[in-house]
Amino acid sequence: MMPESTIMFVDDDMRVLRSLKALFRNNAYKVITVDDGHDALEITKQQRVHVVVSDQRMPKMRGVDLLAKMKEVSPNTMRLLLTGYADVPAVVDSINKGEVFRYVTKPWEVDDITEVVGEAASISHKLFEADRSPTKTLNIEAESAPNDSQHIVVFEPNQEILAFIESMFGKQHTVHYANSVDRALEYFIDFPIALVITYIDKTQSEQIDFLKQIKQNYPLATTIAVMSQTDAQVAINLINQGQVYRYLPTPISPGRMNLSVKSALNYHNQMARNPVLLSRHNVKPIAEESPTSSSVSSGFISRIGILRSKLMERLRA
Amino acid sequence: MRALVRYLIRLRKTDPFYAGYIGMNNIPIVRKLCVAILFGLFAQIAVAEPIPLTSQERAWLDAHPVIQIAPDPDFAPIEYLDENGEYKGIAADYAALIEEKLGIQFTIAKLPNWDTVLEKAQAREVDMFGAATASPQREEYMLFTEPHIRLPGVIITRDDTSGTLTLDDIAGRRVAAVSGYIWFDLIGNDRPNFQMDSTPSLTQGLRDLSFGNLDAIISDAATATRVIRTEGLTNLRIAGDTGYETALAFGVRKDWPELGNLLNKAIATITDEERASILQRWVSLDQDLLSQETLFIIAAGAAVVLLITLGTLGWNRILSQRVAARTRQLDAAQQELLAANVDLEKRVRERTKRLQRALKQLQASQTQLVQSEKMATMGQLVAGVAHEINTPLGYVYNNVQLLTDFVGKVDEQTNACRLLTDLMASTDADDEQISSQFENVQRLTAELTDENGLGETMELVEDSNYGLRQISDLVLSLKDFSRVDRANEDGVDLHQSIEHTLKISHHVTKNTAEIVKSFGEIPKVRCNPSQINQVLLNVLTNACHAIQNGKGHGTILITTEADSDYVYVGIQDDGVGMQKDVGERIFEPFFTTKTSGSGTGLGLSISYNILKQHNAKLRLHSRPGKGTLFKFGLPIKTVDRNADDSDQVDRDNIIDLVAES
Repeated sequence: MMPESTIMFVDDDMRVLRSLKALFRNNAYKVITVDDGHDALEITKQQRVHVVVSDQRMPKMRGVDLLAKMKEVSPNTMRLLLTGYADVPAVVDSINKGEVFRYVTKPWEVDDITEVVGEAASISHKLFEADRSPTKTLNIEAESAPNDSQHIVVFEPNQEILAFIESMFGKQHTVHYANSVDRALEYFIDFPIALVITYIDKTQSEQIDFLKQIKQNYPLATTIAVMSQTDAQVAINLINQGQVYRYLPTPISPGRMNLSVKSALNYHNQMARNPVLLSRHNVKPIAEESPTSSSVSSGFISRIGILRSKLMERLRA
Repeated sequence: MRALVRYLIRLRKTDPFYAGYIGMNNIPIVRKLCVAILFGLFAQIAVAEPIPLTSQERAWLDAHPVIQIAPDPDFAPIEYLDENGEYKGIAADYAALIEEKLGIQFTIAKLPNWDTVLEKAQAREVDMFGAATASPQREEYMLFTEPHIRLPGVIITRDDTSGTLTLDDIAGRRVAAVSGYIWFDLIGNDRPNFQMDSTPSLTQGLRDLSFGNLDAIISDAATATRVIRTEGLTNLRIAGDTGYETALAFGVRKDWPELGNLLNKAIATITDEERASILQRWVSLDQDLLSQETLFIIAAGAAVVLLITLGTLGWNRILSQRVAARTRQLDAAQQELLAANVDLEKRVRERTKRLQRALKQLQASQTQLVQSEKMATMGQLVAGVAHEINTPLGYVYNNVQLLTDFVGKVDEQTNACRLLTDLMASTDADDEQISSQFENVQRLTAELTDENGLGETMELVEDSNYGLRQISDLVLSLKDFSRVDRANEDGVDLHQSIEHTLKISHHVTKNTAEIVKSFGEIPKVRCNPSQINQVLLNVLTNACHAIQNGKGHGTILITTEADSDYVYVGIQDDGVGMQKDVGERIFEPFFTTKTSGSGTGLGLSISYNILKQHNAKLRLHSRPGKGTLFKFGLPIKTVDRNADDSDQVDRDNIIDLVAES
């Protein structure tokens, strides 16, 4: 049986806190409730918190700002956002700043929240466990920028960003271009791909499904989604089912792209060295929730299994 | 009188002197007619008939069934197309005569002007001219028959010139002739330096001359006289002779010499009687143009007594005809004036119609803008309220789930209790059974009351009630708030409006400002509550934005008070405040300081209009860095205003704008 987990709920509405506390009280959790982000950070500094579930709109500190700080204070604490207001800036920030594990909307389903908190708690235990080993550090930000050459796949039907990426990273890294799912998959089989960058110009597209499939089957690769139109619901799906590493709205700022790619490659290296980190990005199964995955060919589905064996190979090496 | 002249002309043919005279050039037709009067008595009658043709000639005509004659459409009385498009004039009569003599029929090509006729003739698209003068230029592509009409070229000027003028007198002035007419060729060949302009038609040229845009027109006298008369151009006169004449003849395309020969053969058989008959049809005595010389010839030819009588009668007739002519001119002028008037009225009507259409479009787009502002506000509102509802909905759902579990446990415990009492009441049960069931009941009861379970459960029930109330409040406020287009209502409690608006805008204000209320005793007022709510929401939202742009978190003070005439509502924030130039413009439509996409720039403009329609007082006091006070007063006693006189309210009366820089 899993050891006791500490769950922290942060919300400015005490009734939400009371309700959630009552829900988790009996399930082998230690529940902490606070109504302010500053208190939440203080408590996290003093004791081990496995999962933090925060509201977004609070008077003194926004949820995403709290979670971004929480990432520094306690990287092994799994971060979830629980909000009734899916506004685009909040969702984008929760990806890029908060790097949240899940974005849960109010009103929540009792079964869903107990399941996802349970999953987050068990991952957090693994992370804390791995962190105890003195040879490994999980502090990503402390890593220096990688100097080695990596393989990057740019997957987009029209060459919107390829030239841009090539000019920025083509010298140091190998940039592969794919205009189809099959082509992209071939690169994954032939090369140890570290990063996929996609340009998505509509909210229903095979790029989105591909990102989800990659995270499900080859979580070692990090993903960056560039979107011309920002749709909060699509972004939420990219968090919960795709664990997208960065989400960049157009027009792309070169500075942001540069930082995002460097950070993504760095994080890829981290995961390669510490495979336990992969569990951080366990995604919600997509099969039942994504009827749009029909845009991905059945050939792809059968071949994607190869990715798992590739993953094992590369992790052993 | 006319019948007599016709008779005389018909008779004049046999007299050799007369025939010679009539064939002479440069002699005005009227003079010829006078001579006809003197000599006509001794003349005899002759009859025209078809002429015999050779077999070659007949064959040529059979091979060319269509011969197109192209008249000048505007060369009356020589040739023209009348209002029905019929070919008329002297040349037309000659053409008809020739048709008779040759037993053929010409096809009439109806072309818009003489220039086109020349063009088509060069292109061989038409075959014949009805009446044209030969010139070296034209002879490049046309053959000309013997002339059948001779017309002297005259100089026409305004009547402010005097004496007989020659071409030398008018050289260097603004002289014009009809474009393409023979005068260019004739005069140009002899006097290459003589400058002449083209006028598109004789009518146009003579009008320009009459209005002073030209100094002279070169034309033949017959057509010019006709135009001068029909146009009523009374300030023109025939000032002299050019020394050139146009001998008009049929033109035939150069590759058809056979037709030229045929025409000449036919023309040769035209009798003087036929000529006179034609001429008589088209040229009548025009007393306006009778010169002194002409009158003298008439006098000399007739008896002196008759002359005196006739002279008196003639003079009377001249006078009466001049009066008639002047009357006609006045009539024409009046007609023109009337037509101009009608035209003007029509244009005014059209312009008015266009303006009305534009106004209607403007009104429609204004309504649309106001509507879209309302929709945008409502959209933001609904999204905000949805969030407000999602939170209580979240914990109410959750609590109901927990309560369901709890009720399950209570049910289990109740069943266990019942089983225990049943066992205890039963005579069959043994002690072991009872004690086991007793332990069971104890365990279930402990679970229910564990960790203050019952107390917590009661709390969850209370929370759920609270949450449901909050949801229903929000829904009610939203419904109340959005009852748009409601008419004015009596007895509106502004405090209630403020509370509704605060509830609706809670999602905006809660993380931005502390709301402090200082409500006074105020009577109820007559107003349109949903419109006033819109104003309140707008001002509150702006106050929040002003605070967000300033220190981020602040206070909004809402005050109400009343005097004997007005109920006042004040909304004071401690946000960024406004510079004077911004303060002066904030009620303008589309003026916004917000980034594009975050505001339509219509909110305050609409609020301003709403208050204006309520006869409200409005006061804006802003200090940069300190904050803004927006205060409005609704009259306690109101009269419903018509939308029409809303403009009568002077903006200065309702705005007391104090913005300090």
